[in-house]
Amino acid sequence: MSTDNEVIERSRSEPSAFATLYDRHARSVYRYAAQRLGDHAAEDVMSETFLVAFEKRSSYDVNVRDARPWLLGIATRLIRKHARLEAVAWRGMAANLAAQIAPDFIDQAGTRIDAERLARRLAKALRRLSAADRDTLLLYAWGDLDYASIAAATAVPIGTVRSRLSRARRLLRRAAGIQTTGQETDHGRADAVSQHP
Amino acid sequence: MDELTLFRNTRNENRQPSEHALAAGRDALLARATAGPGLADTTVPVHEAETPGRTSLLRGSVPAPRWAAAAIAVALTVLVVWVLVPSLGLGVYASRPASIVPSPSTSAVMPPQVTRETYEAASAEFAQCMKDNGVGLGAEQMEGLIHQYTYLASQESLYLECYADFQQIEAAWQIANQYDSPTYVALRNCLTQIGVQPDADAEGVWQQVQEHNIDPAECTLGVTTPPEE
Repeated sequence: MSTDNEVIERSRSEPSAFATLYDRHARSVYRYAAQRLGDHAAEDVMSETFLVAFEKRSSYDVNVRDARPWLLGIATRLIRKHARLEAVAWRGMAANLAAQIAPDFIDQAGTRIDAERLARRLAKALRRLSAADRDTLLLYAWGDLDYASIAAATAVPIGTVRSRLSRARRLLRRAAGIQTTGQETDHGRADAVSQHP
Repeated sequence: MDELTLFRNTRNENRQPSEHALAAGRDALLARATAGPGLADTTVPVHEAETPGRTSLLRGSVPAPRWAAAAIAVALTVLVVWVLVPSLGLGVYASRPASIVPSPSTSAVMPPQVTRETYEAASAEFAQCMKDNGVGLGAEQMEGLIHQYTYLASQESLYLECYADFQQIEAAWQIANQYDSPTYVALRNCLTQIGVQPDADAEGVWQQVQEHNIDPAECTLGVTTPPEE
């Protein structure tokens, strides 16, 4: 099976080959967009991401085998056009977060806060993140990208990814009422390849 | 569990696009691919990569972004209030969501066209659903061709229930009428604020937003971008 970079390289002389990339990654792009925007807009973003990618394929670095970070980067920039719709999706996310909050996290946040309230605080904090910090956080959490891939997707140095995630964590912890420790866990994934191709 | 793990755990691997959307997206791509190299790029321009410390012209022109965004929001039927207030759960009114900024290039995958009658009927049904459950809508008004209203933030779960049926129709309607959607009204205001006369169509406005480095999220939501560390 051809790798992504091989497909893209081939598509430069054989444009229809790009459809292979679509078949391979459209669902993944959709899932990421759907979590941020909801289903309807996500279908638009999915389609448009590949149209944009197709037009930009000549600038793709063919030394990079996995095109998913590149595609999610394009999707992320397209998602910014849907800022208000995204905020609607976050409200739904609060319920999802509440279901995920483990008792030990609640303990850290303080004894009298319940999961639902904590989820609301976190969702609110997410809304207040800068666009760049939020994109970084969500590429990590929902795009399932590692630090290096996020750096590639957003075209910033990996150190910037780290500082953005660190800042997002601090804000989320503050929103949750958790004391920030001097030493924070490094969440960089060891694997360079995304986990959900 | 820490906060990042918490967010990662909310990733939903089961969400799937409809077969119709998948096929339409593929068809659109193949149509582009087979159109030949001479075809003009009709896709919406995408922001080029951000550089650390980049600031938008808008932010540069507004010394207190959150305050300024709130002021814009008031002028635009409390755009920001809706964002900030509902999660407080204090029983205050939240302005309604439902604005999207669609791409002019994605009409190939749009759902069947929604007529004004359909939109109005679905809107009325949504309002009735809320009313039947004891929650009336407040501050109802039209913004362009889009209904605007508020509802009690404490009734969020009911809102989500009633809105579910309306959402698809409203999204399609707003795509068709995007120039007068709240988001585009906000974008046009942001352009005006920096002395740029907005174009007469949505695609032109979006182009201007890109050209002037206006962050759509910041413009419509009052999201601020702190400097990079």
